[in-house]
Amino acid sequence: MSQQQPQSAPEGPAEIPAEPAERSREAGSGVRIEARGLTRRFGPHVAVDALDLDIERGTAFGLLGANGAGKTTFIRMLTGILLPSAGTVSVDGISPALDPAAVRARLGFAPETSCLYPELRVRGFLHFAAGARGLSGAEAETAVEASLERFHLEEVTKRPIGQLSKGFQQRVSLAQAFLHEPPLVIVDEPTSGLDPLQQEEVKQVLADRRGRCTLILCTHDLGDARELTDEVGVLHAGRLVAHGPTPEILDRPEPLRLFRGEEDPA
Amino acid sequence: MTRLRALVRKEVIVLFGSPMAWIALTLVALVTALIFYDHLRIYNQILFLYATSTMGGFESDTVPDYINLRDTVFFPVMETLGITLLGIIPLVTMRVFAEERARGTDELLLTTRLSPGAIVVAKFAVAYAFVTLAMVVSFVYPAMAVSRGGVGVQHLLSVFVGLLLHALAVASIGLVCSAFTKSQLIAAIAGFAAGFVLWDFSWAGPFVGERLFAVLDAISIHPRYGAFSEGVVRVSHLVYFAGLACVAAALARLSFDWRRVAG
Amino acid sequence: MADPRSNRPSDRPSEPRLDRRWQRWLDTPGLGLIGALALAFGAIPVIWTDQLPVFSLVNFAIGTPILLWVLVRGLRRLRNASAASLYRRTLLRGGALVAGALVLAVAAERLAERSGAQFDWSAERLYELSPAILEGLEAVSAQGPIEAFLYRDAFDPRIRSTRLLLGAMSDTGHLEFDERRLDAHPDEEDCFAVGSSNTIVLTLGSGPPCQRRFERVDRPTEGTLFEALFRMRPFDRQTVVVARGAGEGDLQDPGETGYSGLGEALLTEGYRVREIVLAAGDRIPEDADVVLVLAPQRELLPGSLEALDAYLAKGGRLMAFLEPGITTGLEELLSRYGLTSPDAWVVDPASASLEGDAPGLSPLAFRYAARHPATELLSGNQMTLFRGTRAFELRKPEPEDDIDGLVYSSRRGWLADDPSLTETRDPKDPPSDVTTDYQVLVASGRYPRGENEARIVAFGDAHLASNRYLRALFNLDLVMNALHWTAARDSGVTIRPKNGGVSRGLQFPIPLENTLTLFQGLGLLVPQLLLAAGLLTWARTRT
Repeated sequence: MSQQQPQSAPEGPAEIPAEPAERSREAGSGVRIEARGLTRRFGPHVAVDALDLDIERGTAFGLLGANGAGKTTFIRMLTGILLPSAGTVSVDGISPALDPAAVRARLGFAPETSCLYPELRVRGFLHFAAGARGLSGAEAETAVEASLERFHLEEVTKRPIGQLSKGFQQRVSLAQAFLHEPPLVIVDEPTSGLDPLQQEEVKQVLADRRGRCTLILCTHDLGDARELTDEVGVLHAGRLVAHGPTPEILDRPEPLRLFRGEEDPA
Repeated sequence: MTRLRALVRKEVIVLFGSPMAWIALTLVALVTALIFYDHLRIYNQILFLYATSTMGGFESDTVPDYINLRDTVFFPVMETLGITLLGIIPLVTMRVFAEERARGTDELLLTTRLSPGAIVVAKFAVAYAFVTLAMVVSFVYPAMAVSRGGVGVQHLLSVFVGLLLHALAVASIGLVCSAFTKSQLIAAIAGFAAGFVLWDFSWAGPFVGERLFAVLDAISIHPRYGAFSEGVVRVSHLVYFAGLACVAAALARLSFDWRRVAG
Repeated sequence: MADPRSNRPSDRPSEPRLDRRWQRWLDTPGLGLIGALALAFGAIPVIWTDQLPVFSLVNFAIGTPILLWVLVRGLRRLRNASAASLYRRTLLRGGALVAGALVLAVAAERLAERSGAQFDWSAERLYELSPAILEGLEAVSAQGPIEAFLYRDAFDPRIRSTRLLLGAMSDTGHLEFDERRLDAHPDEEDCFAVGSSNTIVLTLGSGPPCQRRFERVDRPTEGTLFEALFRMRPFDRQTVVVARGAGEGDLQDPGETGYSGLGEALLTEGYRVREIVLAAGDRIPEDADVVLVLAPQRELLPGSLEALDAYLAKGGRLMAFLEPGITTGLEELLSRYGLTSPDAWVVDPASASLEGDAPGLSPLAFRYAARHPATELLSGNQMTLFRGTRAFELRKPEPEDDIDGLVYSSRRGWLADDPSLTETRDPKDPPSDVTTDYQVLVASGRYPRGENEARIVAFGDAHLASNRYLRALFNLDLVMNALHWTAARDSGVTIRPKNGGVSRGLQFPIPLENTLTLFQGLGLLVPQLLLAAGLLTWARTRT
C-alpha cells in the first residue's frame, strides 16, 4: 500500500469557532472526515486494516463494533494521539498525524465516565476544560455557566466528580466536550453503565446537539446508534464491514451478524 | 499561558486530593525528624562523656575533631535522608503521568489544545513545587535545632539547596519513569532503581577503567550532593542539576512521541 | 457509501525469518523485560560484593542478547512499517530534543566546571584558599608543573572534602589534580609510600611521577597542604638562634604552656633552629639571622645583655617576648632602642573575661599597623588574643630609626600596676589618675646603623605564642609574619590556612531539653498535622 502524503493545516492551527450553534449550523456546521487506506498495526496484530471512510459535515456518525473491533484505535488516529502505520486520515483536509494541534482545536472529546478526574469539583473541572481549550476570563466563565445550564448540572457544581452518579458524570463528560462549541465532537460509549432514566437524559442531551456539529458516537449499543445517528459504520477486526445510512444498516433482519463479520453487505 | 495555568491548577488539585501526597509529605518530615533527633541525641551523649571530669571538659581540647555538630549530626543525617528520598519521592512522581494513562484521562488532555510540551512543563512544575514543599517542611526542625550550634545560616542554606536539588533530581528521574509506563508500580520501582544507580557509581570502581570511572563519577548525584553538604555551592553543580531536569523533561516529552508511534 | 472491497488486508511487515518455534519464543511479549531483569539481577552481586561471580556473568550473557534482539526487532519493524518516515520524523523530533538538551547540559556543566566558580558557604570558609596557599602555589609552580594525586578508596567519605579542597587549588591554574584509585598504581604507591585512602601526593616537575620531587600529605587539610607546599618552596634556610638559660620558653615542650608549635612553624616556614645558652658565651653566633628571646622568667645576666646589645649594634635582629610582672633586663635594652615597656598590665575593657581571669586582662586585639609589612595583611576582623600583656612606649633613639607600634589595644586601654586591681574594679572605670589610650602591645624598630640594619620586634606577651594559643585566631600569622619581617624575609609574610579541623563552636552540645522540645514541637507535630490533613482528604473523597 502506498503511503499517501497527508496534508497539514493550510494556515496554521485553526481557531475555535466562537459563534453560537445556530449560526454554525446555518453555515454548514461541522467538519468533513476522510480516511484512506488507514491502517494501524501493533506488532503482528492489525487493529485497523486499510480503512476507507468519508463522513460529511454535520453528520451524526455511529462507529459500531464489538470490543476490540478497532473503534478506539481509529478514534486515536483521528485525534492525533496515535500515528497510522499506513494510509491517511484528515479532518477538513488537515492530517492529525502532521498537525495534531490544528485538529484538536476543532475537537471536543467525551471519554467514558471513568476517564474523568474524581478529585475535581464539577465547576473546577469545567473551568479546567475551558482553560485547556484556551478560554479565559469572562469568556471561560460564560462558557462554563452555559454548559452547566445546558447539561443540567447546576445542582452539583460544587461536588467532586468522584461522588456523582454515573449519569451526572456522563453529563459532565459531555459538558466539557461541547463547552467550546467545537465543530467535531467524539463521544465514547455515552450510555454505558447508565440506568434507563440516565440513558434517556444523556440521549436527550445528545439529540439536542445533533446537527450542530459533526458527531462521532463510538458505541456497541445499536439502540443508541439508531436514535442518535444519521449514518453508521461497522468495524470488525479492524475492517469496515458496513457503512451507510443508519436505517439501511441497522434495520436489516440480523444486524449483529455484522459485528461478527459474518455478512458482507456488498 | 491560560492553558498552562489551567493545567497547573488542575495538577495541584489532583495532587493534593490524593492521600499519597500527604503521606509522602508526612514520611519525609517524620523520617527527617527521627533520624535527626537520633543523631543529635547520640552526639550529645558522646559530648557528655568527654565533658566528664575524668576526660576533661569541653574547653580541654580532648574532644576529637570528628565529633562535632556538622560531622556527627548533619552529614550523616543528610546522607541517610538522601538515600531515603530515593525511596519516598518516586511514590509521588509515579502517579504524575502513569495515573493519567491508567485512568485514560491522558486522552482527555491530549484532545484539548494542550500541547505535550505544555503538559510536561506543567506536570514537572507541580511535581517540583511539591518536592520543594516537602523539603521545606522537613528542613524546618533540623535547621531550628542547630541554628544556634555554630553551623551558620549560609551553611544551612547550602545544605538545604543540596538536599532540594537532590530531591528534584530524584523527582525528575521518577517523572521520566512515570512518563514511559502506565503502571504506577513499575514507575515507582523504576524511579527508585534509576535514582539508586545514578546516586553513586562508586561501586563500579573496581570493574571499570579509570577513564570510564571518571565519567561515571561525573554523572553521579552523590559527589555533588556531598559538596553542598560541605557548604560549597559550585556553579557547575547547579548547572548539572538544571541539566538533569532539562534532559528529564525532554525525555518525558519524547514519551508522547513514542506513544504516538508505539501506541 | 464507501466501497468495502477497497478494505483489503494490508501488507504485513517483513520480519526476520527464523524457525517458527524460535519465532514464537522471540516474539514473546515482555521479552525485553526479561532481559532487563537478567541484567539487573546480574548487577546486584557486583554492587553488593564488589565481585563478578558466575551468577552475574550468566545473567549478563542472557540479558544482553535478549535486549539486543528486542532492539533490533523494534528497529526492523520501524524500518519496515509503511509509515516509517512518519514514525522516524516523529521520533527524531523528540530524540533531537533529548539529544539537544543532553549536549547543552553537558557543555554548560563542563564550562561551569572549567570556570571553577563557586561559593564557599561553609561555616569556617574551609574552601576559600588562604593567601599563603595561593602564594605557595605560585612560588612552587614557578619551579615547574605541580601535579596532585589523590589516592582514594571508592567508598571513603573523606574524599568529599579533600576533593573540594584540591578542586579549589586546581582552579587557581597552578596545579593539576588527578584522582587515583588505591591499588591501581602499585608502583607509585610504593615509591610515594602511600598507605591509605585520602592521601595526597604533590609532585613537582615532569617525567614519570616516581622520578619527580614529591611531598606526601596523609591527612589532607588546607593547613597540611600549605605546609607541604612550603617545604617545596625554594629558599635558603635562615637560622633562628633561640636564647636559653634564664627560664625561657621551650621550643621542644609539647605541653599547653610549651612552645613546640612555634618550633614546628619555624621549621615548616624555612628556618633552622639553634638553641644557645646566652650566659655561657659572650657573643651571638655569626650565622644567626634572628635571635629569639622567648619570655625569660629570670633576669638575664649582664654578659648576656651585653652580647645582645653588641649583636644589635652590628645590625642584628631580635625578636623578644616579654611578660608583665617579670623584669628580665631586656626591658632596659629595648628601651635604649626606643621600645620602653613599663612594668604594668594592659587592661582593655573591650575584652571579656577569659578562663577565670579578671575581665580586660586578655586583650583581643584587632588594630594593626596598616603599613607595616608584618601586619599589613591583618585586617580589623582578624583578631589576635593576648593573655596578660605589657605595653610599649615608643621613642626614636636616632632620627633615621623607624619605630612602629604593630598591634594596639582598643582606645579605652589603660595600664594597671597590679592585675588584681581589675578583680574589684570595672575595667571600663579606670582609676582617675590613669589615662586611657591605644596601648601598644607589639612594637618594632628598624635601626640603620652602619652597613647593616638592625631590626627588633618586641611582644608584650609570650602566651600568645604558646601551644595553647598559637593557633587561636590569627596569633600564628602575627608571630610568624613578625619573625619573617625581623629576618628580612618579607616574602614569607602571609595569612596561613587555619587548622583543617573544626572550630570549637561546633562541639558545644545542644541542650537536650531544647532538643526534645523542638523534636516534639516541630519534628513530630508537623508530620502529625500533615497526616491529619491527608486523612481528611482521604475521608472526603471516600464520602
